[in-house]
Amino acid sequence: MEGNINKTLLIVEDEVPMLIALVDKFTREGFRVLQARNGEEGLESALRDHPDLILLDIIMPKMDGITMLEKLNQSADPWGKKIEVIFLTNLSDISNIEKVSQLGTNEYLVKSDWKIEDVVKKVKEHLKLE
Amino acid sequence: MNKEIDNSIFKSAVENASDHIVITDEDGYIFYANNVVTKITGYSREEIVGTKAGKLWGGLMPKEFYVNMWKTIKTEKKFFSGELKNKRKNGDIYTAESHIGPILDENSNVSGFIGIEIDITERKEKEEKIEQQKKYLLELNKVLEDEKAKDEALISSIGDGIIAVNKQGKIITMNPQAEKMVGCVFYEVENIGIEEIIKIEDIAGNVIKLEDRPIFKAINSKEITHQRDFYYFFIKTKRKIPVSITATPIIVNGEVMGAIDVFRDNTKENEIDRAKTEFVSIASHQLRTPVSTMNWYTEMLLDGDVGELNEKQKEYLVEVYKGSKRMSRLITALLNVSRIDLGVFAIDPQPTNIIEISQEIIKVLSQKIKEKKIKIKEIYDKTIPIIPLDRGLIRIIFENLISNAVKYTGEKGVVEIVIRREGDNISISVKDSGYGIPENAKEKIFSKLYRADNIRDKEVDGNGLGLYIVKAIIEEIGGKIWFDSEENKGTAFYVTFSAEGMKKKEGAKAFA
Repeated sequence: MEGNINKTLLIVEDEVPMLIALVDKFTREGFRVLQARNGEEGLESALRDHPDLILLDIIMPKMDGITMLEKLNQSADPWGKKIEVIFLTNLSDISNIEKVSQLGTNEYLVKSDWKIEDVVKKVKEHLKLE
Repeated sequence: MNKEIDNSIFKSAVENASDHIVITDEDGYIFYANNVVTKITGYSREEIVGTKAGKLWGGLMPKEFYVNMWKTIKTEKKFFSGELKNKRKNGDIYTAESHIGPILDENSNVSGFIGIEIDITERKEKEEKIEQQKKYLLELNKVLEDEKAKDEALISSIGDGIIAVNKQGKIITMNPQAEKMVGCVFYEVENIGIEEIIKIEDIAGNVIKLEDRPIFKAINSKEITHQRDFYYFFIKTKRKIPVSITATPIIVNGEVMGAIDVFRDNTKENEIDRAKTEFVSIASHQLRTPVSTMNWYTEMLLDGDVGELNEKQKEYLVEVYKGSKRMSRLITALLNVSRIDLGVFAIDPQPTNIIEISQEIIKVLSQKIKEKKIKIKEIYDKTIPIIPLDRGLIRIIFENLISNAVKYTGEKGVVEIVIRREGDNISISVKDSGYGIPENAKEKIFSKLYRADNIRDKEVDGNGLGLYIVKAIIEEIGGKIWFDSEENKGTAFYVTFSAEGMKKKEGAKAFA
């Protein structure tokens, strides 16, 4: 609706209603949106499609978000080292936050604290679209 | 000197002897009594002479006593000695030690008797007193022994380990529970330094220095010392357990004689705590996800993302959104409360500008402030430095105090926020012209889940957790919170804490 944005976004989230909300919102905002339901699918999609930004849930079945990012960083694909990630979390769990900050310049946001509109703003800021 | 002793000397000696002496004829009639007899019995010499002792002071003992006496002195011609009760002229009874014997003539025939008595009433009384005291002491001893047995039974049946040490930290006693935990019996470690059987470590595994052990702190400070979150490592069994310790100095006449170390195995409690924390974190995850989802979908509907809504639809949906937001806040508050109650919250200080945080919170509340046409006054001391604070915690403090002020103030009211530096402290006040706190609610205002009566009808959006959380946080960082309030005039909350900021504290969870 807002016109096309030439950016690809990968959303990795196991909670389907939340995933759909984000996918719909970002699609309407004009992003190309890819989706994955766990870390394994997310890793596969990331390495295949090279999105501009990943919105990544932390607690997920099969492979959690932190492990997925570690695997990306370690992968043979040099793209995996410079990928931009915004972590989505439900908890301000200190051990998770510490792990996230150890993984580099990635950001995290607590889902319950953020309006969906603000998530969009954050993503756009990150991609320097605003 | 003349070898023959003069009769008069004999007479004077008998006359003035300190013992009672009477002489009778062979039938027992008294013909001589010395001075002391009168003194002891109260009878005059005229009353005494010519009478039998039995008629005057005697005759109180059982008949057999006298029969036996007469037999001894008259038939057997021997001295009789005994203790007997006599009666003075005035009726008083006294105890006498009595020696009576026959006076024999050249042919060994009994010609009379001599009776010598000593009034031993006083001695008797003293003896009786001593006897009583002895009895009392015996009874006391028994009571003490009973008490001691009870205490010992108590001490040995207590589930906590108890070790007492002297001033030098040498073991002077321990209960069976302590023996079990330590892995040796008392006599093996008697007079050994407590540090030789138990090592103490903190959570991080650092060995606690001797002088920092609760028991030595108690000895040195003369005060009861409590400690949680330490670990006892029993050197003999090589077993390490989490303990809570209470060390109490033994003080006798103002002087420290040693200390008693009471320690409890906290393994189970810690397990329960962990289970609780895990439950809280799982429950929060489970509760928060659906509520966040509801919030996002409602936001999209209200924003007209999928088509414009009519006014009524919008109105209804706003109510749905409000309810769902309220639920979010409640879940967050409950999470924070459980973290406070579990004592697991972390403090992570970062250089912080408090004024910015206050401004941020006002911005978040701007819609509500606008709706109620509330005037916000901000008075900030420009010299407030950037100080190390946990931003999450400071945000919770401002969020609760300012949102309460806005919530509990009527339309067109005033809310004034002041941040000042006062000496070594930062002082914050949030003052409103609102409904105020009723007298009867003042005492409970910081209690968990408490809401004052006067605001329950006016404002549904409140869960009674905010001030409880705020107070707990402020106390944790060593600050103070108090308030002034008058119903229908307004309320002012005051907070102060050190301008040095907060110290880092590791913990399982940050605030939500």
